[in-house]
Amino acid sequence: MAEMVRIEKVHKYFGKLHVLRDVSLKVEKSSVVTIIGPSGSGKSTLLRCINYLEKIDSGEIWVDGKLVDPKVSNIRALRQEIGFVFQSFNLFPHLTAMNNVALALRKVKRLSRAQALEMAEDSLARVGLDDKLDSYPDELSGGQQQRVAIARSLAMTPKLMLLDEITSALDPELIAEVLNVIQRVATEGMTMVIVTHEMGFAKEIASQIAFMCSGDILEMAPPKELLAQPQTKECEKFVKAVLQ
Amino acid sequence: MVEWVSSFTAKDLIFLLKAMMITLQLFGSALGLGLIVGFFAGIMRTYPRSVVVRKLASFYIEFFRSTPIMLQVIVFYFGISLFGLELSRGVVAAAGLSLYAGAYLGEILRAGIESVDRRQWQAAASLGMSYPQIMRGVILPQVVKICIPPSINFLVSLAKATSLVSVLGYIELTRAGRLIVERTYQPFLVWGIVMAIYFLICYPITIGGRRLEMRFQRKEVR
Repeated sequence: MAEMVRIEKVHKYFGKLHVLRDVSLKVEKSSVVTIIGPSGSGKSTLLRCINYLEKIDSGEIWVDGKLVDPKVSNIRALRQEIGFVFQSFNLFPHLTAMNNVALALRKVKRLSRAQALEMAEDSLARVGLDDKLDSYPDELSGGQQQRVAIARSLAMTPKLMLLDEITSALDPELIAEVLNVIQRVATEGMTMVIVTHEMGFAKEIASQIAFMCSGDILEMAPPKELLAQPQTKECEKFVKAVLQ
Repeated sequence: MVEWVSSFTAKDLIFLLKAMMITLQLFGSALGLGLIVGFFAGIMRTYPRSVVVRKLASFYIEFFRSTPIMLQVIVFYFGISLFGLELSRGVVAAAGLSLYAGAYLGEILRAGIESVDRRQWQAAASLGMSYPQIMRGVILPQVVKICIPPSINFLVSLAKATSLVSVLGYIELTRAGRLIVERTYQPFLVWGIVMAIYFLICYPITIGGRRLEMRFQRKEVR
């Protein structure tokens, strides 16, 4: 089967701190991999390395057959094909929801203003926000802001989406609206790598769950398998703790 | 009474008003050029891809901020004559003030750019935007608003700092005042008028600044 992401023996240090230790991971096209694990295990860092927001110290990362390395590939071209959604939304506060989505369409995809706004509108409709086109980020709830951020990524028609704890900053009652959108995007066949603390969601959406601990992926299996029969002590402990 | 003492007349007032025009010209050119120089200095000072560019801008900014403007124009004036160049005092004074203003405005812009959350850069970069695209589309629009109050603050003091270039013997408002005082012995009257003129120059800057701030504060206006 074709791979969308291939991570091989990746190491990453923050100063002396060894945050990624020989990580390898394969993500097949149209599959959804969720990464779970205790805080500080390197989940977010790994995700950020995939679109070069962080630089790896050794190893290789391939996305859709292209090596993530500015010496070999055009990182900006690569990033256009990789949607990234942040824990903290990171909307542009000076722009309306519609212009948040349209900005990169105009500047990066070089669409005309009218085309970009039309696409932005479509994209916001996909996340159920066609009534908030002219709202500024600070006029939106956290859940709405995160949906705008998702629309902003989707509008670029990426081949891969990376979601970094996208519900961690949300009030509990707003989490579902965001996860529903992601669920729908997954059914449409989008390849996704999701770092999350929402175990129910991780279980439901994932084709594979990867358990990460102390900078390495200790095991990876379909959700039912991994949660029912963890192979390592660390994973067993973690699963027990979060399922309680 | 000594013979050359004469009282303050309408002629003196006209002399002061002419000097005011000189002061306004100095301020205007320092403002215009300073904004341009300051823009580039601020951008270069935060340029992520080259230490050399950052260091260069930093050296410029720190040099002009850490030495007296009065000495800057003197050194500049005599410096260029060492190279056999000859520029009028007015040009030297305006150029000196522009470089001085550029340093301060550049530093204000640097602080503004650095105050924008790093994650704004990351969000824009992850959409495939380039450095200039991010700067123009995401960062600067947020920075302008932040930079207005400190810039206005600086511009008011710049308007007054124009008096310091009188050290070149260039007759602007303050020096004109001194010349009249020396002749009329009416310091209270003359300096009072000079102060009033400075006030009339500076206060509108503050007002204009406040208007500008309001325009960018769409939220408060709404």
